[in-house]
Amino acid sequence: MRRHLLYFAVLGSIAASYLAFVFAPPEATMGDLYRILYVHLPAAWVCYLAFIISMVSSVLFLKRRVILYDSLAGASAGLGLLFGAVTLVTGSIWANAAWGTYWNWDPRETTTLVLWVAYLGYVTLKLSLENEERRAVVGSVYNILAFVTVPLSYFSLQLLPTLHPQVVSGSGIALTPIMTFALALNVLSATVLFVYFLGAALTVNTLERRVEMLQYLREEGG
Amino acid sequence: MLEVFLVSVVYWTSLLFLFVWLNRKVQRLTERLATLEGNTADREK
Repeated sequence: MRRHLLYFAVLGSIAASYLAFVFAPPEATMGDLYRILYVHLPAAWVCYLAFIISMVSSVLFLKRRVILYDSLAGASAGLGLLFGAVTLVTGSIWANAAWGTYWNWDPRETTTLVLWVAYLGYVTLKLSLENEERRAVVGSVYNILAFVTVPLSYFSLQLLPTLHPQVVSGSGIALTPIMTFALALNVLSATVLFVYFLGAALTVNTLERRVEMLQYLREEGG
Repeated sequence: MLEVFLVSVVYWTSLLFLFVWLNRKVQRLTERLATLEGNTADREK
């Protein structure tokens, strides 16, 4: 199953990249630079998705006390940080082309940075606590609190005056049907890739636990 | 356009590194687990 996901993600990404960087025509106002959208938007979507999965897993952990949910929350947040970093970097490059500066404390930029730092705190907190149960409980509570930054970042476009274009509603950037298709394929491929990585990270986590348990049993046994 | 190209290269390279790192970790852990399980089975015998 995971191998099929990988094949789909790789083939989908190759096709999506070809459509985005070769086949799709330049945009009317931004020219070729708008193509960064094909990396920026899928990364932003996966970043939000990862933090949603992470928060839901933390809620489930606190409710059912199954350690697998905490592992899922940690793995998902780690991947969210990676995709969040890509979102911030690509957004800055776009900002430089559109507004003449890499960073201008635009509400969307600022709230996304706050979101990223909040989840960096979550991952750091999890790495800093020794006791497994305490780490899981404290981490889960922090994760649920940190999740406030996700809607704050997403709805910053509606709540605050911003220069950030609204691609979903279509204002600020003119996409032709082929551009929209290329964008959708890039989003789909990035999502499948994220699911694959999440599965792999969980496998690593499960194996680490089993190794730790066997090592403990061996030490206890003599 | 160069910036877009460079960012795409960095993006895909980082994903490739993540893929290789996770797979090598799974492989290492599977080998370690097999060794530990073998030791445990020997002791039980």
